Amino acid sequence: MPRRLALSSLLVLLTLSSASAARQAAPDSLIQRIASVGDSSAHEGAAAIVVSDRTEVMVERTGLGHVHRSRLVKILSEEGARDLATLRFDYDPASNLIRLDSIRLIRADGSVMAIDPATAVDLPAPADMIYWGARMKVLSLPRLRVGDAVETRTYKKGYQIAYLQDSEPVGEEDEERYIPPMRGHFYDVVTFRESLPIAEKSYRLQVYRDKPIQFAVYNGELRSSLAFADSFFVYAWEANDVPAYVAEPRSPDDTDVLPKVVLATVESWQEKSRWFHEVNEPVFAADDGIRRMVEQLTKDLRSDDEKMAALLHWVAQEIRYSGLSMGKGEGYTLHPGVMSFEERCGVCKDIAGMLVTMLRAAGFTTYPVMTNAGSRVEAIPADQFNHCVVAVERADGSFTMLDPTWAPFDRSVWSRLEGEQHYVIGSPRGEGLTQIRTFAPQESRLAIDARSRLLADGTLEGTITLEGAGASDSRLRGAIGEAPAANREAFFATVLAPLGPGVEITRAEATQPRDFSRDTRWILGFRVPRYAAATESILAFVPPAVRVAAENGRLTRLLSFTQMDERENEALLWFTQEVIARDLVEMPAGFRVTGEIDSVRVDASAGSVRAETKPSGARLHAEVRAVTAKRTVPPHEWAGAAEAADSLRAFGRRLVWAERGGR
Amino acid sequence: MMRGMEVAACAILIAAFAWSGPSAEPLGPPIEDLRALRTDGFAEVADAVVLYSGVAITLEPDGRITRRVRLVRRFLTDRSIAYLGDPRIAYDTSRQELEIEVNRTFMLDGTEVNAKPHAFNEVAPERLASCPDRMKVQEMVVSLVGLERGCLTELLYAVRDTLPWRPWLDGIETVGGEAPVLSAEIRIEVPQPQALRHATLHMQAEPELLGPGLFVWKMGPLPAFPREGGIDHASILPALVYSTCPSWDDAGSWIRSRLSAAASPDSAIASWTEASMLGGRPPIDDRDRIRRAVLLLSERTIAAEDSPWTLWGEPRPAARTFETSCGNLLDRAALGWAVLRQWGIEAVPLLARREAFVREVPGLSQVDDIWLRVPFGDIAVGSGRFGEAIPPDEGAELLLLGPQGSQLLSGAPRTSTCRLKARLREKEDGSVDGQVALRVGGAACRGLDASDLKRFLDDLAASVCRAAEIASYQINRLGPDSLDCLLSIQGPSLGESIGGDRRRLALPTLSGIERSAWPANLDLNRQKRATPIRLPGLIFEETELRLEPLSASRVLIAPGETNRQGAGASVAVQVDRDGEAWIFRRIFRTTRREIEAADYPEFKPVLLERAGVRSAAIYLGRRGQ
Repeated sequence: MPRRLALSSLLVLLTLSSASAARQAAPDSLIQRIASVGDSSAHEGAAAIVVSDRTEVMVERTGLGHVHRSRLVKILSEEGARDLATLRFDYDPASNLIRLDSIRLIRADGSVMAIDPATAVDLPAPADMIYWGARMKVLSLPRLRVGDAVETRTYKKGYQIAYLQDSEPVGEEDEERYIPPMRGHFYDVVTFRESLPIAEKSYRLQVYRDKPIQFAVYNGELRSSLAFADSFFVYAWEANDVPAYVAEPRSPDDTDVLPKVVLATVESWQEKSRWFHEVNEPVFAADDGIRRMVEQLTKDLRSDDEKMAALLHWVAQEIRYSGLSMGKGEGYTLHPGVMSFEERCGVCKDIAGMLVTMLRAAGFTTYPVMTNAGSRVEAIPADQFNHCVVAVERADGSFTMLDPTWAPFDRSVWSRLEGEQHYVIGSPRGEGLTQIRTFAPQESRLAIDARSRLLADGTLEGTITLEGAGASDSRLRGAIGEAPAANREAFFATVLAPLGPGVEITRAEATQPRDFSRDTRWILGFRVPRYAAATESILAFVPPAVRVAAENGRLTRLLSFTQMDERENEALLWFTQEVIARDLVEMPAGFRVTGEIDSVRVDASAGSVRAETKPSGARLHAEVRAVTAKRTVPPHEWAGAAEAADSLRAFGRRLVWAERGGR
Repeated sequence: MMRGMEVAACAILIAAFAWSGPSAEPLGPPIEDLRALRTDGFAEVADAVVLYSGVAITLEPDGRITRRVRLVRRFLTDRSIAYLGDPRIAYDTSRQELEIEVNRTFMLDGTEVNAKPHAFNEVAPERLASCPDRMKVQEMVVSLVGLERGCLTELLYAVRDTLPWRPWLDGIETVGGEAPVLSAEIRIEVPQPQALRHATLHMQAEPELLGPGLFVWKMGPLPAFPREGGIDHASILPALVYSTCPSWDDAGSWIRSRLSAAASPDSAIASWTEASMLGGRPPIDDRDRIRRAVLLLSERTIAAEDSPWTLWGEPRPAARTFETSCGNLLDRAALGWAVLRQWGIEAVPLLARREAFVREVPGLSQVDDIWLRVPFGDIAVGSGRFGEAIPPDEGAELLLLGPQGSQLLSGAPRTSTCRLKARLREKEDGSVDGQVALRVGGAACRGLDASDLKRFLDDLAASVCRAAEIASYQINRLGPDSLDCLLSIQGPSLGESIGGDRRRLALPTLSGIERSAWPANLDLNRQKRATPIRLPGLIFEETELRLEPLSASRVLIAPGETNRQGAGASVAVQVDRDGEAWIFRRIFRTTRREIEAADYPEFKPVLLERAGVRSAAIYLGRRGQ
């Protein structure tokens, strides 16, 4: 009965919607609307403009959403005409459906051309690493010209799996498959800005009065309203004249910076937590093979931490990232541990599921965890997750967090790139939204230590040692672990490339990438012919460790900061870091380093540098400390850190002089 | 039994595209024999080892072709698992079917893991997703399961034509790549009395004739060919070229007739040809019109990439390609031809190959690009470039598809010359005045983007003196094969004029020319190579920079001369004084295009010297700066 009532309401809505559309489609008003947004002169650099983007959603008691969307885009340039020539609508037939209701081309001269939606072809969608049977509807439009506008009207129902958030639904079968897995509940995250300028955008949501939503607007302002309509609440959000969004360097995920509304019918994260626990609990049973492997991996280990680390690293290294569909429940439930163990592949949730299975087999109280790698999870309990990890409950009730997906070639059991990340543990009692702590720069320290000597002809030879912890360990370890076997020698030369393309690697020792018992350490012997400018009596050079720290952006995170005129949004650098580079350079016989102590110091909230070269007779000591202090950098703090980075770059070019017989 | 069930499940999954023909013959040695092979020591030099690579190609009397492949590999490193775990098999769903016979892994403990149906997933190639008409080509992602270091995988599949759609059998089978190959086999069977023409590239192998029309090549072991840059990787791999096409004339006339039929302008194309240039003015002449056609193909039409079947498919009518703003190489060639026809410009299509055609084996599988020869030059449809004789490489060849027949033409020679002379004078306020004369000829000039000459000149000024701006310029000659220009520049300081970002002497190298004259990704950090370097052509460069500082005491330089030569290249760098002025000269030349891996240790120092890294002259600047 409730469903029948809902469908009746939907039909009313559809009728109203159609009638409304018919009125709006009157050529004069439509043409006027298209004309009113102006041409390319009013929107410099934009290939097209969204004249209007209207979404109307009706939510059934089951949580099933019926979504009607009307979008009108005007072409402003030849590039826009090319880019809009093919329309594509992605969907996952397992969980959602889309119907192309109408597609119209409104020519610049006012003529209207209806495109038959049936001309769309329905095909498997492109996919990489996640193969869950996603599909798409694609169709070509007649040749577009500047000034034309394309209107699409679609209907969709179902729900979105977090990984496939960018896709839009299609397919048409039994209703049950489209009902959200957390039955009776609805959520959405709607952004109100995109790469095209928007003249008008609205989102209207109708829910039963006994299923109200909680919502909040982030990253800007939207007009909002709430109205009563029979047995429904009708919420609406609108925005006008929204400029195009152009991502800045190091921009975080769009949802962290674009105006958005986050809404959900779920009352609390605890409710979501309990649901996640219940839906996944059946998959963690171990079989004999898993139990044998757990025994083999942990038999000589004493502490819980050692056992957890051993199991985590085994899962991280042995379960490769490749997502195969298990059919029903794919996307929101974890693959059974026995399945991942046999196939040795999965996406993050399956890899997490493997670790939960093994930890439980080892006697740990363990739960799967929802999280979002790379962007915030807002307080409203809407599904904002794109990643899955693991929590081990300790005897004191605290949790130890483990992420096997981000742990390949990383000594840490929780990647230092995932600091400040929000998460919700799926437990029987229900957990709230929690956040990983901030990691200090020292936890990802990189030490670069060079001992070298100059020859009279300017040749530099010596040894440079790189030792990394945390994120720096991961960088070094991963680089070797993932380098082609045939190219490892060339890879080391690339690390020292700042010393010049003539650098010769005379010796290379590196921690085995799968040895997680210690931080990664590389010892590289090197020789650079004519590294220094040399005459009979003078040598001029830059200390090598200083130069590597000041020029290799893969090693020194601070170098991510570059000068910008003005930054609009925050930047995401993923990890903090401290780099300490030290040099001891010995001069050739008869030469002494000249000049005084040379130093630079710039302290800013997001990044700082301190550097010094110190002559000492026939030796030169140099030290650089470059700190990236924040994972997420507010826009007003960018310039200060960029100044520190520039100072480091400049210091890395500053010459040190030595003279024959000099003082 | 388990294996049989799993494979049966696979067959159910792919029933829509599987052919239920008779059981095929075994291909290669039994799996037990391959599992027994030792691969110790390979992990140091390769991420995987191919234990057996077999291809069996059958041409049926009615023209249908079946290609059956068996690949048995051992995965040695984490990298091999990450990068090779999900191979893709492309096939044309409208006229081919795919049958996967075996997809299994033998783990280290002997466990045999067979892929379940969900390990086979059809996806659309991203490179086609913007062109619905061309999306009949799909890819089957075959996920390998149970992977671990040291495991052995076996993949056996067949792609079969469901109807005859190619006029002859014609292909290139590459053997090996980044992984070494212990043994390989190619079988080709053609019905009698058809003749099979064949040739091997980069390997010695003669076929055994096992029966009428049944040829078998056996190869191995073959070394690994790592990707080292400096050469087109595909061009060095061992390969077999084969074809039943009787002649180049047959190949040319077949493709020309199809292209010609598709290259008919309709009213929409006609209307477009009458419209203005993008800037609002009408085309002035045919050169202008041709430039507009190039923009239509390169910037206004999305390229759909459906190789290796591109040339075998039917080109869509030009009107359809124009209408939908997308198309594959064949479609875009037909559109370009139609547009030119509408203007009354008669074009001649050419088929281009990056290397020389294997002349004794006529066939379309050797074709890399289609060009349209027009007055003033050629339009390279694939790359969307226009210029007079723009072969992508010296040694490239063209098959000209003339109305009277086809003709094989050699590509133009690719010698590059670049003469740069600059004089910089320091002024009292520390800023710099300068003059730059540049003459570029041959292939180096063809690499310039003539449509963006201003950017090239700006780069030229900046390469001579960092942050310099052009005060005035004069173009004495600008043609497809030559550029002669003079610039007056102003820079912030002499200290910015030399030595690049490390104040080390680095005489200017011009990026626009480098792109054309040098191979991509040539990495001089390597101390040795396993593969050769191939230059696009011979190079001659002469560079002279005269610095006139106010006070010579600011310059730290060791005058002198350095000469280096080796492996077909030489460089001479000279530093002189002329009163208060310093003069830097560099002459660089190459005398051969291909540098063998063994010669790299001799070749590298010459290039480093050219780059200024080991030059005699060094830094500029005040002490303490």
